[in-house]
Amino acid sequence: MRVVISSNCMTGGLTSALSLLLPAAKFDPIPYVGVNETVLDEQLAVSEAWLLSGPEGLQSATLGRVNKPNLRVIRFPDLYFNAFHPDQVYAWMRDGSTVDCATGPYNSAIALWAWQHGLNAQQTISLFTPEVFGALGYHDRWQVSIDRLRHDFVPFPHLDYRDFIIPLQRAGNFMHTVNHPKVAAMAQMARLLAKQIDPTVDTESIPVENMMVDGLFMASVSWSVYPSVANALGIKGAFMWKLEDHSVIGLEEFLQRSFAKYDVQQPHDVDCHELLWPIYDEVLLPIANGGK
Amino acid sequence: MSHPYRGLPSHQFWNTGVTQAPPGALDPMTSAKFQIQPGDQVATMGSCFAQHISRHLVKRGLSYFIAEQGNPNDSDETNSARNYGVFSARYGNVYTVRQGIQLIDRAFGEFSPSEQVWETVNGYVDPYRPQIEPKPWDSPEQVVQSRDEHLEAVRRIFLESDVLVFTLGLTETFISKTDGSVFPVAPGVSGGSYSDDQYAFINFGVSEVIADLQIFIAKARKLNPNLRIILTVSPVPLIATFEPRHVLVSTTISKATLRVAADEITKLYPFVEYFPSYEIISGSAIGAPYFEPDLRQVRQVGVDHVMRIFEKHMLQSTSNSSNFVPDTAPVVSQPRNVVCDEETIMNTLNASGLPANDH
Repeated sequence: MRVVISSNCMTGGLTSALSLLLPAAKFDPIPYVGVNETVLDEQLAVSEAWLLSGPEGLQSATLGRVNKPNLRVIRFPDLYFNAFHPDQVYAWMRDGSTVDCATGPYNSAIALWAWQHGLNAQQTISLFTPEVFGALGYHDRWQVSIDRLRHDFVPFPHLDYRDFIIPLQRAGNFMHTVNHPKVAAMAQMARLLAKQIDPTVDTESIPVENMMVDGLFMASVSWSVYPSVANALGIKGAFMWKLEDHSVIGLEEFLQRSFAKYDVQQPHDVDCHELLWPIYDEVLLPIANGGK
Repeated sequence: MSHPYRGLPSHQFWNTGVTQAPPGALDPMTSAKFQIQPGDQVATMGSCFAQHISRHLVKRGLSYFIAEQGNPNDSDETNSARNYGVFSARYGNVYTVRQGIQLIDRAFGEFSPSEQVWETVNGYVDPYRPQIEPKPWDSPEQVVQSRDEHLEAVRRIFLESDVLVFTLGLTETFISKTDGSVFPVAPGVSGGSYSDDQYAFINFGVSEVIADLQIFIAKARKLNPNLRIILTVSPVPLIATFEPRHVLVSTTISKATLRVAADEITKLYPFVEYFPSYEIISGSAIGAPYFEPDLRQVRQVGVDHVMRIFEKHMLQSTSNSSNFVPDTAPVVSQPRNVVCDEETIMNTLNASGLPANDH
């Protein structure tokens, strides 16, 4: 059996995990980002199933080109879960490009707010406290993240979000960033998908987590779980960011590098949805005004 | 069809009360008979886990009642090494309820044990708190003098406290065959010398612990009619058992005995509350993550979980947590569709050992 997997950053991990869960099948990773339609069409033409996340339009457009009525299309959600990284946000330039910081497009809302309000990196350190995180609601994001996860699974009734989250939720941090799952989460999603391909497979007895490379960790950023945020979730945390080049930086260096990148922009050119929430001004302005 | 479970609160069902509880926020306490008010004098005693409650009360700036103060001219380190402030008085660990009863009786002159001083290699210790000093006293007189000061502090605790947090730790102990004195540490371990003629091992059963708790409470309330008591059971397993069986079996029996006794007592008295720190740390819902690798000592992250729940139910709120709840719908919280760039995805495929170049 041949199966095409088209997803985002999860494509590699899911391919590895599914290959371990269903060794008799052949999985071909074709990410939907920057997809070569010819390659995709040719591969689907010789496959029995297509595991697909991402934009709805890709499915209809592709199936319109590939005349294969018996192709099983199994859709699943992209993952987003920010209970471990409630400070992590995307920001945008006017031209639609992402604003980058020390960790690429994964910005700290607090750092970005501070930069927009004229604080420097050193002054911003004083905002990274358990009291500030608590006041911003960072210690209470679990349920919000669960609600978001449930919402994301709604279009895929063949997959139960509880089968995904419950085995993970006592196992510590399962996300590198808000949308980059660690191996444990990747393996759990793969188990749900493997059951869709072959309902008889015993997915629980195969320890795929121990057998696969964490490609996202190797190739990308692993973000800090702030100590008090971690504590509220009963796990360990630290102000440590693992970068793409495999170096690890602490809070001060994270802020200095991020501000160096921000400083080539104009604050009013940067748009961040979360910073429109009044809570950031309410919590951070009194501290910033006292510290300046 | 009607049935008795229909409409019960979510915490009464395992699925919603435990399975779906957020990590770090499992809350087995559903209501409290009373709360610690800002002006209340709070004293602690019991096994070592009670020390965490002491520290948290101090951290929160509440009135942690320390009746036995260290020498102000000594450093904090020195006073800490001499166990000042670890509990409200320097009684050390009060592991069993019987030990607590005898502590009251000794403080108020109703019991004078036959054994007053134990000799050890380098000096003399108090049999009822043999590890309270970092090194033994030089003379028996010093032991007695220190104990007199200590028992004066104990009297203040039972007369002046508003709330007593008592952490039940053990059922196994050694007693004097002469007068039934209970020792926190087996004779010979930190002083004295063990002899089958002089001492006996005892493992209190449920009915004995319940009876002892009733006696303890009666004595404490007679001294202080407004005293409120919070019972907890230490989640720290036995370091050793004297019963000829596996230490895990003895731990299970010991904790179960204390837990049952606490439950029975809590049902009897409106001024006694049980706080489920034992369940938070040891419950099957949590398991090993809250224990250190030795599966005995409790990790700080577990203690912090316990104290969050303690603060939520037993203290008037001093939390700085926000009620802010961000919008959750992805189209709202993520106004633009965010995906990783192609390069990152390809790097990930390569790192996973998968072919990427063809795509």
